[in-house]
Amino acid sequence: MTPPGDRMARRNDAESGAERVLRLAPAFDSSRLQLTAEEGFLLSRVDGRTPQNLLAEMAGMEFARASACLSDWLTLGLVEEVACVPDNETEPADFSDQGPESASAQLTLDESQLDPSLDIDIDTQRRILAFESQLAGSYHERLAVEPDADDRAIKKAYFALSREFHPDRFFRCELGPYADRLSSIFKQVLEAYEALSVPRPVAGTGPEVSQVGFSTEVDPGLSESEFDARPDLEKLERLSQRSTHSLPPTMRRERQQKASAFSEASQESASQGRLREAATSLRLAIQFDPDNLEYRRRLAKLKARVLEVQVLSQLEESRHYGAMTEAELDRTMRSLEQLLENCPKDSELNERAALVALARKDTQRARILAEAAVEGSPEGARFHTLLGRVHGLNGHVGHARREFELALKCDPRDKEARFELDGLLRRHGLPMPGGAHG
Amino acid sequence: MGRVIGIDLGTTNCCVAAFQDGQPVVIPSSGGYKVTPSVFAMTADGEHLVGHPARRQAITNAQNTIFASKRLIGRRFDSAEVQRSLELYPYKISEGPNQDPRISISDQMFTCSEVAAVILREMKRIAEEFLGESVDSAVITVPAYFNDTQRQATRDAGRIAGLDVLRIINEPAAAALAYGMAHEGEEKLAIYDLGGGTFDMSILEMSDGVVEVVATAGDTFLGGEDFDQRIVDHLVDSFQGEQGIDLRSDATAMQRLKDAAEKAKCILSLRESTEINLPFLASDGKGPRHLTCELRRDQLEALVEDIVEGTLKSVQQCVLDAGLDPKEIDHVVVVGGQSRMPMVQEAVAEFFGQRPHKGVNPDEVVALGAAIQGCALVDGTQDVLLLDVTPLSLGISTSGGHFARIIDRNSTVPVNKSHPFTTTRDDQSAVKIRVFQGENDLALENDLLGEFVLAGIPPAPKGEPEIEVSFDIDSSGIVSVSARDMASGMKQSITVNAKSTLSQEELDLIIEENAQFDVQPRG
Repeated sequence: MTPPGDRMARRNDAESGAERVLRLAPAFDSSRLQLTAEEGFLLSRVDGRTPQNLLAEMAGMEFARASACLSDWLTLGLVEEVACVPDNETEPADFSDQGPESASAQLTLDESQLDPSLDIDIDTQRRILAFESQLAGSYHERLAVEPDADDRAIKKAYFALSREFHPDRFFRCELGPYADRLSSIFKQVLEAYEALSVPRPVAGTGPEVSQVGFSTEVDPGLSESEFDARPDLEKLERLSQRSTHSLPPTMRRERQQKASAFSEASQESASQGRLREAATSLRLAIQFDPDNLEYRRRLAKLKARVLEVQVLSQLEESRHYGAMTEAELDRTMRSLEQLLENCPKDSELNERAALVALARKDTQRARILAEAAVEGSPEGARFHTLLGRVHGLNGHVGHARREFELALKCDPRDKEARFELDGLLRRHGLPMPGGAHG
Repeated sequence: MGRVIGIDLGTTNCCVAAFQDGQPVVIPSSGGYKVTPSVFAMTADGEHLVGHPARRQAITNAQNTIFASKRLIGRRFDSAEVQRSLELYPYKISEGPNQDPRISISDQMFTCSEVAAVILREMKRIAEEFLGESVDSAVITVPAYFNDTQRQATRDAGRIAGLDVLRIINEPAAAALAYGMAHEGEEKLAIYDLGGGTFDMSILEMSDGVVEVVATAGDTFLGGEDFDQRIVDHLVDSFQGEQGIDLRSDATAMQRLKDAAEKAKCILSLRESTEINLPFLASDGKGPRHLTCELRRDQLEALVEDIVEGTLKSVQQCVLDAGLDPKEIDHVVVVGGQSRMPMVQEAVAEFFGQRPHKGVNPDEVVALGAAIQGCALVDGTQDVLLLDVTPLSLGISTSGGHFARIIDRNSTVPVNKSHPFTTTRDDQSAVKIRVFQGENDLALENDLLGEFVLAGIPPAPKGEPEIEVSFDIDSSGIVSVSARDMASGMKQSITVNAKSTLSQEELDLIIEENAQFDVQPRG
């Protein structure tokens, strides 16, 4: 059985310079260098021990390319050649003041930890010990990538380190204390990789902790101590698509009974105004009895109510749309439009939406919404007034005038309609209606 | 040390591969077959038949022929899948002492692991015959969506068959390893694996010999068998309509129909129509009745359309989990016999906007990948590394029966995660940690993997004690769970794989019995 370290080392022996060992030049200020992520990673592997061919392999680069890079750096004075691989006993003291990587890699090495009796060669053991001391740093340092490394560089570094430290690379080798070291290194590398790579949508948003009014026979006397997670509603919806038809009748009956218990819990919660909780219970009911359309209908209604309460409370907070920022207006508009999908004829909602549209200077949209408001309640004076104002802003004086007059017809004492009508007539030099205004 | 083989233990067929002259090759049986039917039968005089001979006599000996047992392995007897199989399969399934399904033929009862072991032993024999040396270890593949119990039962089967199971790996990952051998460079790969009994969808990323499983989704009870069943149902219904005879209670007739359905399905992958001809299928007072009918490809497609669409939901889920757009996938590989159906290929092509890759043999690629992984693990001649994931979320049940996820599905292994919990009653001195695997928010709807009690918590008001629950999965997928009371330092832990459908004594007994069986000449 050959440990992989050996395998890698042998591969490029024949090529020239493959065995050359480089170290970072103590005096060189590498911070001014413009390196690609790949080059940065390669540089970070230069430790005064690892031969050039291995460096290339670790960095996942073509040998020729890595070799060219290293030669360039050699001419620049960034790195210098080490005569031979340093002896195990004599730790070269002048490494101590170099870049953070090489310092941490070289300083804390405890040679007494090396054990030649294991199925893992001494160089690899040394590399493991060195890398272990590097793990204390930031995620970027763990992966030995630049702080601004992109996804691809991060993945590349993660793959290279996995090739080095994944426990499978030492499958069933006698590793002694290195077994735990390797598995811990890989887990920490993985943690860093997961933290740095673009977040993916994961299975669930975490444990669900809403207080649903039910209990089952299994209460392990254990609960979450962090109440921050939200149920993953979409997933529940998806799960609820499963049908119970394939189940034997007894199981189906049991599930239906559970479902109806959840449904009752939901109704109780709803009657006490705890709508979200009611919705969660209902979702559970649907999970147990996905074919019950009544539950689905109720859930749809409940969802509409939850949304309505949410949006209305949002609106109550600030009814002065003029004072809202653009983003706030956009958000409010979106919520209102969602609500309008459920009840497109609701005059009050349309009125609010029209006001928001006006605040966003979208007079066309405002007209459509105001018209819908009027359509919903043709007797409501204030909706006519609103439509009139919108018409006025659009320059449709005739339409505006008619709406104000209709508003006054609905409610002759409507001061706002009267005021708007007077203003309109005055602005356009039209005659006031006979003696209505002293 | 003997040779390492890779075994694709399929629902319908098995395939074995090993390295020959530095190349992974599929090992043919002495009859020249590259795949062996996963069928085990006992004849009236007690002879054991495996593979092709077992399959050939299935029609005349339906009650004593076990097929598709992979659909039962590692499941609970009362699960919907097993209950459904009770109606579908001609052999007898009963409940074992660990609530596991057990299969009886010729008055002998077998656990599903034993049945799988019979087939694995046959694969081992085929490999030894071909390689001319002993084989003692193997990598066995399972559907990516298999849960822990199903994996453990498969591992047990390997042990019963006298194999050192180096690793249980996921079928799509194996396929990716085999594909990766022939392709260099960075690539995002989608593997659509529709086999005889299971469906898996995986997305992988490959670069420099590292294969990373990014996301996996699927259905362990959906496959070619269901396609066959739809055809059988169609034939039975039309026969009943024409002749007024219900064939469902006639095991022999059903077996003939199943055979004919499978054949017709395969032909329809190549041709537009086929004739199904089953003379003397039944008889009544008026004499023998024959079944003769034409089945067209469009008819078949109408029968199974919803199944194919169903697979696309998993595909969608998987792509979503991977955080990718279908267009970002570089190559799509279809694996598994059922993926030969043109309709399936069309559906996959349409979803990804590209034709599936043609260069792999869907029946053989998984076994090849298993052999590659085996070599990579033990002798290092294969410089590849598989970064596999856990397919299902792991967690514990909390107050009210909720499922608190601790390790999310699609997490790369090895991994460990922990989460703080607390008590629900004042002065509570113990908590019960019940470990579940699955995606349902209700713990009981998921699979219970094991449980233990952490006692000796010092008296405190509810919500006060801090109990840290840690999950650890090692690279071979073995799960261990521990709970620690932070105040007292008390700790309890279990290794979850200790629980399998077979007890340790039972397993030892079976291994012993089979060791005797091993030296007997085989028929």
